Amino acid sequence: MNKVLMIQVERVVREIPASHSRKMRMREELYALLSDRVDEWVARGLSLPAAIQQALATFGEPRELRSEIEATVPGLERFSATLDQFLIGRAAPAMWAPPISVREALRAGFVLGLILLILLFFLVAVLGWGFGNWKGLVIWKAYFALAGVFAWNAAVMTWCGSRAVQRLVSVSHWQNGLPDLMAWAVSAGVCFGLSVGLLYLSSGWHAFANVGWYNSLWAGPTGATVFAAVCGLVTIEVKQRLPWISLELETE
Amino acid sequence: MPDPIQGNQLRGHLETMVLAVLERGETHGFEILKRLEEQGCGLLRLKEGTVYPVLYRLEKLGLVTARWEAEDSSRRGPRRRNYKLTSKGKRQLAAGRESWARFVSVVGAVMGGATA
Repeated sequence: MNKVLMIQVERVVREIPASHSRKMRMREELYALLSDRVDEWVARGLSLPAAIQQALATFGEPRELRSEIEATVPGLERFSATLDQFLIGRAAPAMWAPPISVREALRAGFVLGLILLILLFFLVAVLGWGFGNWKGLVIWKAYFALAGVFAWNAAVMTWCGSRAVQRLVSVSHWQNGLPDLMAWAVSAGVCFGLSVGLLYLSSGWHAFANVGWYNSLWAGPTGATVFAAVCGLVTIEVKQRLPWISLELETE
Repeated sequence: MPDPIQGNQLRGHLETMVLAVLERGETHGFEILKRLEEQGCGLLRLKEGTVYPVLYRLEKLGLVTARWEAEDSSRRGPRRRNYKLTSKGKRQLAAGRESWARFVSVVGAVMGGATA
């Protein structure tokens, strides 16, 4: 692939708040257009550098194209992509490199916990739980405990996940990264299992007493498995877009 | 040779023009541009990247559908995505043509100058 053409495409696509799959599609399509135009100019007798210049000259201003394309992204997807960046406080291309710091992971956990808190509040308020009786007080304790545990686990998973993905992306064959992935998955699973266990022991959790405490034993292995699967999927996706997101662009 | 028609003069018509070239059959962005150039007798000067925002808008509105080109071992280069007119797109094209004909007839009558 031609790097000059890729940079022009990336100048259009990088900042668009859209899902990774949509952005990859945009990259491929815009690149194919430029590449076809270059081939045509070469076939007409231009040298490759001249053909590239000619294709870039008629391609359009990246800033204008970006805003036109951005307007075609569905609102919910734009919101989700913006939230994704806000969680860690980084722009999209730098999401996984360098690895997420403790502070960034805590920020992600805090924001996610806050979102859950708000969602749960509406749920509890709408269902009428938590007001006026003893059982209600227990529900409110569970409500805060759940949001706190969720936030803590989100921070830990983000921090561990970032490292696991970094490792998997850097190795030539996925099997070479497997021991590291397992180690991070076990760490994440232990943290998740302990958190769920603590929840069961806390008085707030008795609001859901019909669920036996022993069920928390499943939490660790389940958390580790889900963690590993998510890391695997994210790695595949990061590897696909790595040639693009690693391009250095001049600031506009 | 008359002055070329620039992209900003085509605003509002580009969607219908793209639908019209897709009426000739399913194809990808570059071919759409070539068809526009060919039918515009070399007088259309589009910023080429702008064809994609148009295609994405049309796809969002359900006027075209898109799918990746089938793997072709004889062709080198990046894979391309082909766009096809939907039945809703065909109806929109017919409406666009009608509206254009009305526009030309009204504006043409005004631009044609006063008759004695």
